[in-house]
Amino acid sequence: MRIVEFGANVAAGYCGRLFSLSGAEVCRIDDAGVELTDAAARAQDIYLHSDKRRISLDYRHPAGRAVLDDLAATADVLVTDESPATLDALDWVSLGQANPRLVRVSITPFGLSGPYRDWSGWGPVLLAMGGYTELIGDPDREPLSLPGNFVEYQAGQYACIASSALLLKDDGQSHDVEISMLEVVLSLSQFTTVLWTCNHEVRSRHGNVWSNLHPVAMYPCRDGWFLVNVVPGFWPAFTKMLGREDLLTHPDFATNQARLKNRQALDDIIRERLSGYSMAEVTEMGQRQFRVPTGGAMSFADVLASDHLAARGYFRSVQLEAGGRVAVPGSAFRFVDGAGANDNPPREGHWQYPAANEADDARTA
Amino acid sequence: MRGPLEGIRIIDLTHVWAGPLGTRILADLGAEVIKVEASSGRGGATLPPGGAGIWQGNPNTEPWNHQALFNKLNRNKQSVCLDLKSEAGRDVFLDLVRDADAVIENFSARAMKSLGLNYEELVKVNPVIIYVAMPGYGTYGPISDYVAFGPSVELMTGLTTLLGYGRDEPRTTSMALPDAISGVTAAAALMTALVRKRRLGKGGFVDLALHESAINMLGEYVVAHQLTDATTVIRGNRHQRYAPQGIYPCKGGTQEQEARSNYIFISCRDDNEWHALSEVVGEGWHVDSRFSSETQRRQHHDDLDQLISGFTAGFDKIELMELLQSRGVPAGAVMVAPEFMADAQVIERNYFVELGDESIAAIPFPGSPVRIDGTRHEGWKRAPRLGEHNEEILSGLLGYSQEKIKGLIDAGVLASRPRE
Repeated sequence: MRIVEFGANVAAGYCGRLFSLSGAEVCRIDDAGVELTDAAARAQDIYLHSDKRRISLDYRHPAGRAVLDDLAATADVLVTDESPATLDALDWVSLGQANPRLVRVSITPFGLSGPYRDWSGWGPVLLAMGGYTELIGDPDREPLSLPGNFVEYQAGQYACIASSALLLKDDGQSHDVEISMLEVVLSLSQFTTVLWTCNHEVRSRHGNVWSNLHPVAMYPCRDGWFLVNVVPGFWPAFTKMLGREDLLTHPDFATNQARLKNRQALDDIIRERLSGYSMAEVTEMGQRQFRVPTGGAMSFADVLASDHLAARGYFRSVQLEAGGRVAVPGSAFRFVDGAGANDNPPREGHWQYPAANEADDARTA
Repeated sequence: MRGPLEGIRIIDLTHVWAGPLGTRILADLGAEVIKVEASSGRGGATLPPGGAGIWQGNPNTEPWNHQALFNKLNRNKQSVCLDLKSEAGRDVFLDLVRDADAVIENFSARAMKSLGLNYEELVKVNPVIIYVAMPGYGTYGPISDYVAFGPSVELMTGLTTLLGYGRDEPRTTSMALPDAISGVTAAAALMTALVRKRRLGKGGFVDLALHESAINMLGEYVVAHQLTDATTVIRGNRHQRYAPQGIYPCKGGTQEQEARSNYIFISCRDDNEWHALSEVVGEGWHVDSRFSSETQRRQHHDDLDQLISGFTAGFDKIELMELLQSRGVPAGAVMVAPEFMADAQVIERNYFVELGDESIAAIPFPGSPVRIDGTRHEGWKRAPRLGEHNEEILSGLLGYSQEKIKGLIDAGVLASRPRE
């Protein structure tokens, strides 16, 4: 399987990353003249594009467009996150038309139609317009957007899903897939839309607590923060964790409604009983001794040092062109009965060789 | 044809958000998704005290079929209500698996084994079955036994070191974000496995961890930590490079909800966008030496925020968003449900889909963000009632006689309502 990706954003790159992890050959076309401006950009480049073949191409130039067209003609999937205006200039729907089975996938901020089609949009713009931003932060302050590239990466996952579905169908025809990143955000609403439609209630933000369950909240501890997720079924165990089994039947805390009403008093008890522990201590205690969903606020150093993630083979070791190696998060899913999605030995840099894998064996069989 | 996955059959044991979201994505693409549910899976036979909840239509007669959140996640699927703890129910389940392409569940790591329906048992009846398990921390590893809910998993991903108002003011998303992430990842996992099965003729057991799915949304930060000595910084709504960037107050009403929701996101990623913003404002900001370069703008971001807030406060957020976008300045109004559901873009693209029928009042649900060859949402069906397809599937797919089906109903193995 061959994937060709191009564009200036990261959504197409994440789609290509998923295909690469599953063993497909991914050819990335970098926009000529675009440079990695800082360490953050380089880190993202390593994360998304290790183990891909790469060329730099001015595909807006007629000669470059011809190369892109030729590459598309050899591909199973052509995926892009270029803007609608650029796709128009490239005559997107005719790219790779010599390939009668090509799946073309566009990922754009608002889709290829509608009054916002040519608007500027990426993660934080779309999170705001899609209702996510309203939900994060304190009620009496400005809301918070999500850091990182949640929208782009989720859109990349949708692109992988939809194009894989068409590859599976394999009807001998070319297909066009259009993904709107704003609609990706909307599709991932938890209960915001139905709360409005059915109850005429507007969901909004409420800090580090949940609006209708308590305690599902984050608290400070000796070396950071931890969160307990005490839905009603865990309340008895949590009272034991607090060393306050008297709270189980206390009228101020016995029910979820009572706990919501007396939230501040309960939080005072929780802080008093648990803030002296470290994140690791309170997490281990909550999880192992009392079976209460508990999590400590890990740093990225903690993530890298995780014995659990190491035991699961989650990280891939990528060799850098300049020397040295970095650990790169691998696939979130793997086949446990045989070859895993993390088996390929990737390398950074241009003109990388594809790693041997099951897909290669299948092509040469 | 309803979609490219027509002919693919998935047995769905998932519940809550992540799992049903994943199977919904594939059902939206035409897969035959059969939800196997316990009779208690949608709650009790009567309304909860006070009738609290989000109900689609009138819940008084069958509240378990009127839960709007369940119905949002489970359109385009079929329902078989089965007692998997009974031997007869187990046999029905194995018959379903025999001709299925995949099974997916998001129970805790030991649940399916305790039912005698783990992968090792299913592969005996279907050697090429794909089995996707999605516990919070995976099916193996030192903390694979941890109890996982989205909010507690979120802290274990590193996100809390990035999100908040400042170094000492971290915040959570308060929305179980890992569930939304792993739901889409589950659909990707199923598709990867299905393609692999087509090419190699092999099924297999697929381990998917919510924890790792969520870390994958932040992968570049994991890499960056190794490339530089800089530690992660909570920047509020600012960007490490773009300036100005932030969320600014707009003109609003005096009602609490309106005041809370009247904000706009604005960002200038380069000098061109900065100049465009300055021209809209008309105060000559771009010739102010404090803001002459991106570096300067970052250094004087507090001053910029004050100026921008003073400007934005005079505008309605929607009008300002349209003005700025028309002038090439990236901007997005912070919208709430009544606003984004009525927005011109989603209306023009027919994004929301009304689903219901004569017994469950139709309401608009979020559609699919994927269009294939210009179409989507064709032939969509509302979420199934509990056990709605018991007889259709057991008779039509499995070839059971009416007598056998009646026996299963009489024995309580099949049901179409919660037990009283």
